[in-house]
Amino acid sequence: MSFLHPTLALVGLAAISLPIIIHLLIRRRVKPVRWAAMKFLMQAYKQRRRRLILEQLLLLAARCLLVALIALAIGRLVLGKGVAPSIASRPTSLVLLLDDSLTSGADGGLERSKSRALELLAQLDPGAGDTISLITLSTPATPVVLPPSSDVGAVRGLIERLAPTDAAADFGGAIELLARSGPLEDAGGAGPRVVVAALSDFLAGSIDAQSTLGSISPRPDAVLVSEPRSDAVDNFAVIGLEPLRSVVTGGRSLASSNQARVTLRRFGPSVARAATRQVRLLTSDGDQGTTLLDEGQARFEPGQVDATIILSAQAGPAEATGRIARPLICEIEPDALASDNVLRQVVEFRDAIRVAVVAPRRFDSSGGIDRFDSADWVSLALEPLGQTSSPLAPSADIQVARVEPGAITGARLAGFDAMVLCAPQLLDQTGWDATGSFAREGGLVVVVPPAEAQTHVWTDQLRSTLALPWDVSRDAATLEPPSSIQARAAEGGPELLTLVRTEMPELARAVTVRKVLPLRTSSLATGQVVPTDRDAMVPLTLSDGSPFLIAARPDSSARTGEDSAAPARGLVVLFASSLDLSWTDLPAKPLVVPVMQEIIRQGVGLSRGTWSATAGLPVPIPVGTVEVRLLRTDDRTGTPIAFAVTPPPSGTSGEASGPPLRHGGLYRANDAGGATRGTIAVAPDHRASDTSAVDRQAVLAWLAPVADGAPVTAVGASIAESLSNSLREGSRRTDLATPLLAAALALALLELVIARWSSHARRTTDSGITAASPAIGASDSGVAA
Amino acid sequence: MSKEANSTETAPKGAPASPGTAPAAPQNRRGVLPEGDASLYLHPQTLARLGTFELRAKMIVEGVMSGTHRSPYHGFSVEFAQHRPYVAGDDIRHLDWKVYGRTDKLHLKQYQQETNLDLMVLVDSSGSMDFGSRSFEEASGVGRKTSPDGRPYWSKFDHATAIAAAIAYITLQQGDRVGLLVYADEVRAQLKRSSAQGVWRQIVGALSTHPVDRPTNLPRAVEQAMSKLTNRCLIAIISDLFVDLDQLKTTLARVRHRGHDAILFQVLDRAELVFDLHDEAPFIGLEGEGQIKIDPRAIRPAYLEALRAHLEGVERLSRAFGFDHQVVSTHDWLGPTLASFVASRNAQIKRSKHA
Repeated sequence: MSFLHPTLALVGLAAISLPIIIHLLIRRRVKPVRWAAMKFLMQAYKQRRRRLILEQLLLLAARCLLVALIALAIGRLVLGKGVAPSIASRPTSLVLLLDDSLTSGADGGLERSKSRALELLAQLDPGAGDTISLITLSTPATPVVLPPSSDVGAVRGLIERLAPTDAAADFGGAIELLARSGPLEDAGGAGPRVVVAALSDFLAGSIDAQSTLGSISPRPDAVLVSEPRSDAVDNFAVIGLEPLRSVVTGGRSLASSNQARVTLRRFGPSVARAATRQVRLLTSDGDQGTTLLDEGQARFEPGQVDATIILSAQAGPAEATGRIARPLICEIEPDALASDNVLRQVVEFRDAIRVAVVAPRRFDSSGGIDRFDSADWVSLALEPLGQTSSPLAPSADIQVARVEPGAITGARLAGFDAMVLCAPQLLDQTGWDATGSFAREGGLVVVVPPAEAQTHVWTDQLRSTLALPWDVSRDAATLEPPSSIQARAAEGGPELLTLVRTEMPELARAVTVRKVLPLRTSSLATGQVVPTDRDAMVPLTLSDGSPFLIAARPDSSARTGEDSAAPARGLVVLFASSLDLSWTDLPAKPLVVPVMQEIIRQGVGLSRGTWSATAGLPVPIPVGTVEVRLLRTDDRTGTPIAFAVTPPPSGTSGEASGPPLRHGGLYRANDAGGATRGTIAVAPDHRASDTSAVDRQAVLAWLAPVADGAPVTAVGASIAESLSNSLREGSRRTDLATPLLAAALALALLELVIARWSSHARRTTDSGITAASPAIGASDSGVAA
Repeated sequence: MSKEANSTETAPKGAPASPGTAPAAPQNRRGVLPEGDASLYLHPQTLARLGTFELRAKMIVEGVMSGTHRSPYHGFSVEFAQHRPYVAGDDIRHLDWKVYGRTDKLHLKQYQQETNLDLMVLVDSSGSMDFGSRSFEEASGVGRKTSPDGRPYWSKFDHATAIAAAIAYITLQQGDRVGLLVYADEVRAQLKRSSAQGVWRQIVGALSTHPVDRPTNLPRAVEQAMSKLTNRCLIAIISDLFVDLDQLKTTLARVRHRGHDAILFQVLDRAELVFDLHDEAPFIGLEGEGQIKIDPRAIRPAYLEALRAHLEGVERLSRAFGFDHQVVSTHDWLGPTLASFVASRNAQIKRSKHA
């Protein structure tokens, strides 16, 4: 015999004293009655005392017993059979770790897990104090029901509504949640018996065998694991979609500049065989639906896991007008995991890139090429055909405008995508502030040292304004002998000169550099050859390896080591040498045109950044965003799936944040006015696309630290039976709540009768004694004779 | 001629009683008997109702003056009693010459002597008499809300005061003497017997300010009173008679043995007679009986049964000794009750006289 709610039972039993306390309080409050005929009162009381005491004791006992019965009923008195009371009385707290990751969508894995979960729920008896906790494993692990609840029906509904996400499984996060929460606090003690059930197919995408799971202390009583799936499933995933230009211009752009590189990866038994996959590249327009841009076949050789295919992302004339962000969608045929068969990226389509060349106007326009300054060379390189409207250049996709250094303001730069700073020494503080704001808001700033200056103090202003991790000398150095320039191999992702990488060695070889502003990145200053600064790029170097062309994000030094979800915005590119023939013959060499063109075209795309994220991981959110809505390709307004974004505290430089997005797709970031601040592309987590089978023992070994020594049992279809057998064997208990309540009701009626009887409130016919009732004594016997 | 046998009463015969002549008589705070308060206890209507009645002695009493009451002494009066043979020394003026003429024997002619009545009023001032459930304003009938000592209720002692005043008034009206004796556990105060018309006001004044707080000891108080009474009197005991019947029997036997006549006025409050309280409460005795918490409804039958048995016992004892017993409720008007009682008593006396 024990209680399911011992605290309630104790409180209730303590309430037995209430009738006595009430009796004493009333007794103290009643005003005494002065009475003369105490002789008869005492006499009557002595006659009736025993009966009165008996009545009062009966009434008191009935009331106390009534309270006790109610207390026992509320405390859920249960009777156990054949089991020690301390064991039989312990309810079960079941903790469900349910894998709803991308991997769980393979071949109905989540449905199997849900079915097992529902079977386990059916074994719980909320009336006996059993509780249920539910944690979904898709990154980040979510405590759907935590702390534990006894509302099994509600949890059942939650489980039935679960669907696979596009995120990877997060067992580690789930274990941390459990360790921080309450279900396991009483494990092993007098509290509920804690059973952790991990329900998953345990395919390779669901587990991270390289990581080590933490343990739970105190350890749970048992850990049940659904049987790992032994057969792998074939799966193809689009893991990469990289437009060669994130900003695609129309007009005269070369076809090759509008390509996208698509990377596929395959998992499962088919890896050993050759395979092909049809890849389609589409874009979407809310009004006209999706438009097929290109398609092709990706071929996998036997044993080949990844395959790459280049598809054309050339936008048609209709799309190349204005400035429009369009999704680029890559898809393959649906297979085991449909979610990773589609990958989306956002590409900005525009008709032209507008560049401001900041340099003082030369009033003396006479003279030949020998009188060209840096600004002239830059303009010539960007507009080799000039601003003429010829049949060859009906609409130039790079439009150059010269801006006076003294006229640099934020408003003046608002219409430009990039600025080439050819006279930085002439910028005042306002100009530098405007330049800094322009760069941080996603603009491209190209800085060319002035040829005529001897001391370049502007470099201090450049570094401080843009917080660049560069060490730029104030004095120009003459190179003896003159140096040539070299193209440095790009490390990973797109770089400024990626598209001309193949032609670069031959074109660079002809360039001679005679004078430079020595510059180094902070990492190069420590002797490293390859810069390790975040977002720093050195596409061109001198022959001695020192940078000739260096690029970095603004505020790079401040961002070093910072784990920020927001993508870097803006780009600052610095030439080590002035584009002047006295410094280098680069302006007169063919290399200057592709270099400048690529710096502008690719730099604008890099500087604007891309709002992309992986499902389940932190999402970069554009500044000013207050709401993010899922944008479907066939729904221009977006679906109601939305969440509010928590703005950073006012007065701080923090970033907006929101809940993680677990489903791949395009999300529209809206500001308070409803305007679109950007489009966020969320890709499925390709780590979860691995549908390879994992060895059963390896899974159990991986999960073993979780149990901290408790038995980890892998069970198949009989998981519910295992739970029942292992934890509830012989623990059949009889809940006495209902009988106790019935007895309390009966006793309440009895108490009413006793109270009525003992109150003596029943009507009596005796009206008492009247003064005239005794007759006047008139005996004559006393009369004296 | 009647003789005054009470040696303790030193006041001149026929003089009205005064505070100075009643050493133990109660006084108010100013030391003066509050005669004016008599109106609180004896309503004019009551007086009017009782004005035509006479309070007669049922037994033979010994007065000091000639009056309407039979005396145990044979003397010269108008009412013939008997003849007796002449013995030497008898006054020959009382020889019945007619008998001598017929029988030639000397007989003296004797007459029944008539004397006055001495009424001794014994009022119980024990603590139990300080109980009442009737408002003073309603009971007194003069618009005063509280008693002279500030009580808002009409106690049994107040009613006893009214009874004492009433019977004193009747007695004084018929020219007899009235004395007062207040007792509790002993005699607490007394007023000498007097036939002055204003003595009843003094009686009321003495009673209205007398403390009511001692336990009862009726036998002792009566014994003390008996020791001061040398002639046969009519004794009116006004009390709730919450004493043991054995003690009461002893007391009445002693009164009877001394040859006194007695009337027992048993004053009870309506609440005591009906006992219709409802709420459970502690009951505190007024004579130090302690406290007991009871539910009145639970013991009402037993209480009424005990009280009824007691009243019947008192009635039985009073009959046995030839005394009258009257239960008086504080909630009843005194006039009708006393008028009925006196009329009934006089009728009985008349019947016994002619029997």
